[in-house]
Amino acid sequence: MTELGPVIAFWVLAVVAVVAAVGVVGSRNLFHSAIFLTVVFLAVAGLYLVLSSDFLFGVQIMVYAGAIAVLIVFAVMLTHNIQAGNQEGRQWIPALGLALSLFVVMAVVLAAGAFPASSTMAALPESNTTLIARALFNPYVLPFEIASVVLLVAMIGAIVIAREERG
Amino acid sequence: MMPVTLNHFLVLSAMLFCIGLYGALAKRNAVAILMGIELMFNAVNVALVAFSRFGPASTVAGQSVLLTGQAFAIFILTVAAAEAALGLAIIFAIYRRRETIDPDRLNLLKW
Repeated sequence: MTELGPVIAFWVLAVVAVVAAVGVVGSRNLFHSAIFLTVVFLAVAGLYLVLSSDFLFGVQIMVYAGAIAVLIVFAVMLTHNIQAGNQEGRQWIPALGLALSLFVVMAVVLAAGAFPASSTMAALPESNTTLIARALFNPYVLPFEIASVVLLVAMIGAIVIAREERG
Repeated sequence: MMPVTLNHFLVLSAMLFCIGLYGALAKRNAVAILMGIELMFNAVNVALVAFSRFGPASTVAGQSVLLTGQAFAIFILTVAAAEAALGLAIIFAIYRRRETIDPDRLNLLKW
């Protein structure tokens, strides 16, 4: 990726994503966290566009920035104590240490050259949505059908669990 | 200007994953924990799509593996959506019964 446009887009979106992700875990107000999370979802959608995965861009906007963000905002509203509800528990120091050390390990592995640092992208056709459809319905048709059953089970399960119990 | 390589995307993905991991481990609110898990899902998806974009355009058993990462990302997205719906339903049910969603105080199963 050597053209100027995608490079600038990558850096802007990467900075936005990381800053908003820090906002998700750093914000005291749970509602602000939900808004920051939506910003992360949108930035990641933009990164998919930089990687020229236009189908995933659309799905990310619809499923994450649409459905899951709304679901999380609903959950924030339905439970109390929004103002100061996003506090750390007792184990925040070990959690911070674990997250930092995991990042250091991954960075060292990457710096050691675990993957060839190719800057060339594979040649893709103009729109790869058709190719994804072929991949989903030809080699991955069984996982695809299982995924639809998973979604059905999750839908029924969510209704059953969250239903008001009577009597 | 420095070109963007696979490692840039992988470092970004690692950062998002570790921030999400911290959120999932350290928070005292079940909704915030779910937010951390969603961050981790997104980080993994970014890594998968980057791998599929920068990887070599090889073929395995006659099939092009060019879009394997994108197909995997779609399945992860499906599972993440199911997980968010079920997790929030469970949180809602617990909140209605116990008036709290602090994981430290949900220790009914702890002996």
